[in-house]
Amino acid sequence: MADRSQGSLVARRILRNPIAVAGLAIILGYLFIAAFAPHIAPFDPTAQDLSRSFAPISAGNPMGCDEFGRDILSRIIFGARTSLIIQFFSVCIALVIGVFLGALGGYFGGRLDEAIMRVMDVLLAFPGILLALAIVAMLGPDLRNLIIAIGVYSIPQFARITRGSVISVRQNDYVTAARAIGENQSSIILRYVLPNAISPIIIQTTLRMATVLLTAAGLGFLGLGVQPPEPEWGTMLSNARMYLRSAPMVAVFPGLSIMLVVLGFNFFGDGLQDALNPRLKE
Amino acid sequence: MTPPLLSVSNLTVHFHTEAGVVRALEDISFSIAPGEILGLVGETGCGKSVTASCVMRLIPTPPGRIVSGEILFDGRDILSMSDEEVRLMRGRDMAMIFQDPMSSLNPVFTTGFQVGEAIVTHEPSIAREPLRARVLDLFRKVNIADPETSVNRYPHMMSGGMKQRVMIAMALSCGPKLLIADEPTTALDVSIQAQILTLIRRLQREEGSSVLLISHDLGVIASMADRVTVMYAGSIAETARVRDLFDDPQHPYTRGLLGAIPRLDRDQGRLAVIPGTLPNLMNLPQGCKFRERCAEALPVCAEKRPALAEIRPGHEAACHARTGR
Amino acid sequence: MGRFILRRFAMLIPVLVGVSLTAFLILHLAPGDPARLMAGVEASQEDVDMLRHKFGLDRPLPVQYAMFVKGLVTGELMSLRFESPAMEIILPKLKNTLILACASIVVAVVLGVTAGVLSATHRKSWIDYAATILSLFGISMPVFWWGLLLMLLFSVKLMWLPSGGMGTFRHIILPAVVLGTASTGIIARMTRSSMLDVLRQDYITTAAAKGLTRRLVVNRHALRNALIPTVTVVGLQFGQLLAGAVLTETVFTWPGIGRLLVTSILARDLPVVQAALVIIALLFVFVNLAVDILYAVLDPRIRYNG
Repeated sequence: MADRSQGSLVARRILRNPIAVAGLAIILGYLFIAAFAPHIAPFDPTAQDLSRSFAPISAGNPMGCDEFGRDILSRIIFGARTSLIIQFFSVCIALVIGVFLGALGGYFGGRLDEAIMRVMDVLLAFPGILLALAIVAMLGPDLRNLIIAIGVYSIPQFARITRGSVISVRQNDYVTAARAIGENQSSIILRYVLPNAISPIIIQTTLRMATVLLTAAGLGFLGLGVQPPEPEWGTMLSNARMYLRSAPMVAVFPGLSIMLVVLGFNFFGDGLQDALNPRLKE
Repeated sequence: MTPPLLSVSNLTVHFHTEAGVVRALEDISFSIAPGEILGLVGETGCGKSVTASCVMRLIPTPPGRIVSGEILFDGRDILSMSDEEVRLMRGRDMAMIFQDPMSSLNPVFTTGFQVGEAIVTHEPSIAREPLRARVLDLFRKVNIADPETSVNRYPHMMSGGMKQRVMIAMALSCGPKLLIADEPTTALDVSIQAQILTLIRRLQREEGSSVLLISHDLGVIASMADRVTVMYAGSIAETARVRDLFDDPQHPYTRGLLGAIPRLDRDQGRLAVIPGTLPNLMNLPQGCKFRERCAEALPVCAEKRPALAEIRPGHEAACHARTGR
Repeated sequence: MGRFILRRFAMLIPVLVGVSLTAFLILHLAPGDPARLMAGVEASQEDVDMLRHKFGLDRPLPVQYAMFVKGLVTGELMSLRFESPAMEIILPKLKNTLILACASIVVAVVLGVTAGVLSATHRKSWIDYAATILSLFGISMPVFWWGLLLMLLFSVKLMWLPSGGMGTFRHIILPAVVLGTASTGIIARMTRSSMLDVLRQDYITTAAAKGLTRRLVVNRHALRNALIPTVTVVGLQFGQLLAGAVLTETVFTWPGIGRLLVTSILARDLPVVQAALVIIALLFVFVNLAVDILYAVLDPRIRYNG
């Protein structure tokens, strides 16, 4: 009962925040497009028609055509699907492994914690896109390796945040009480500690969806992401860049799509942060 | 009779929160004469600190809103002053000591700097050396050991009692006419409490300033104040001279408070307990706010909120059971 | 204070070992034969074998790791693409990247802190909303696209600024702004929330009760405390800038370490990739160390307890 009223309070705070609502709308639209891409897209995203190379914006091609005469709108729509797949699987990998390691270290402390955190420090020593870049360089660029690379580079964030909140929750009296009545460790972690450490993890997951998309698109832009002709926004930009002077419009839409979706997750994550953080309420 | 230094009349303050409107203060009136110590007593959340903040005009608006009322200080209306006038008055004419000395000093500046800053604000032309002498003098006055070293210390290097002395030095730095002490000893160890109270008492006598002493502790009030005002749920229940209040409390709430103090000088059996809890300030009942916890409630108490009325000279209470007859 | 710094240095050792090990393993955990990988698909079996022997790839892994670290430290690690030591190629490029990153961090700190403070002191006003939305836009902007857009506008259309390369002050404006955009947003958000946090503190009320002007309360009492967490964020952002340089440098053909890293990956010049990764990680780790020390200087509570 307490959970439900807490949940509805959070939902109300989000719905009252115009920025969060805008974010939610963008995310829902994005999910819809990704899910129904084949039904929405007017053309096959990989069908080439060199006679229509760089065709301008028209009723038939609302975003014009690229260098191979492929319909950009259709590629953008299918690109949403690619992006969502990358985001979903890489964040899942990071979430599962990161939360596991963080909870383990935070709850048990000591040498185990020390060892886990040192490994995380090493991963964090490669800032931003670099670790993902290195992993892709090692495994070779394709969708699966991209997901692995981005997943691995997101692990430390989840591990750190989980560890931090587990440590602060662990010191609460109800955890001590559960320990005192002799509940076993794993059930204490799962039943008492994690549920109470969950809000920073939810916030991190939302914000991470944004970062991960930027990284995937960045790798695509460098030619180290999803390989053509598979439609991916970053890779599309990378090709468009070569024709920037002659056909600047080709570069506009993929970038706009990336920005919009990232913005959606950041807007929503920001609202979520305000809604879940009781200190900021008045 | 000399005019009061501070007189608060019919002050009503609301806070607008996410959950609703909190009626923090309702029709508060009291006054302090020059050189007088007025104790303001009541439970946590009854509006004592809000009252103090209003006098200094430190209430954040929003969420706070001063709905009505008047605060006259030295004949001037604080609520209608410009921001600049209020600023110049703070620290110079009236100063404040806060509840928690741990968090009331800025951790990144030395204590000497923070005390000196109060002086410089109101005497911008003061030179370095006289300023230093003034600060050292203040530190000596509040009995801080080794003032020369202490002025260069950061707050976290000092004990709570020492920090509260620094706060008192800061408050006294410009010789204010009114000192507001908001629970000055609550956060301190019992052994330090008496020292701080004695210090405030001594300095008040030396400087001749008035004090608004806020406390939930009737013992502190009894030993310090000349007069007492008892607050309950944002309203004033009773105001009287200390002796009168303790000897002959009028309001049932005051009686309840006094009954809840353990005493060694007489055998009182079990401590009395006031039944029930504080009313919700967001959803106040009609009539007297204390009615539901009151053993003497009359039918009229459910309908009309009692106004403060004089029972005998200098002794006022807001209770239908006392004034209705 | 001295002990505090020493302890922080000691904690670096396992990280440094881990960083070099990671860079080393990137080559050796890759599926397939590293010698074949280095030689390329077209190389003959003899060439591959020769390469394997030349680089000691037929020796046991621990020996190879020792050789790798020795090569890094002595600067003897050779580039495959160019007939020169990897470090000689990397260091001049690193200088260029540092110039770019420093310019960006200046942009980000000045704009970000200003926006964050204004946001917090004008909470829930249009300034706050505008700053919040702009910050979130900045954080969400894909660096490479933002770079292309600005390049289109200022270089191709208006022809005010050069579209790439390095040389004059005008060359650095676009890349520095582009690279600093996300950091500006993050610093603004961070400054805002720590400022709001600080403005709620009792000592802010104390300062106001002394009669200080609002300006002094904010700029002296609040900002000084609010900047302490911001310093940490700036340190982390410096790392983000080094990484973001990979993209920005590619867009603006800035001759820095990021571009070198990408071209080396594409050319499979793995020693240069490894060395560049280690150098960037080292730099980042040391910047964070410097930030921790600065943190202690700014916050007397840590200075005396540490």
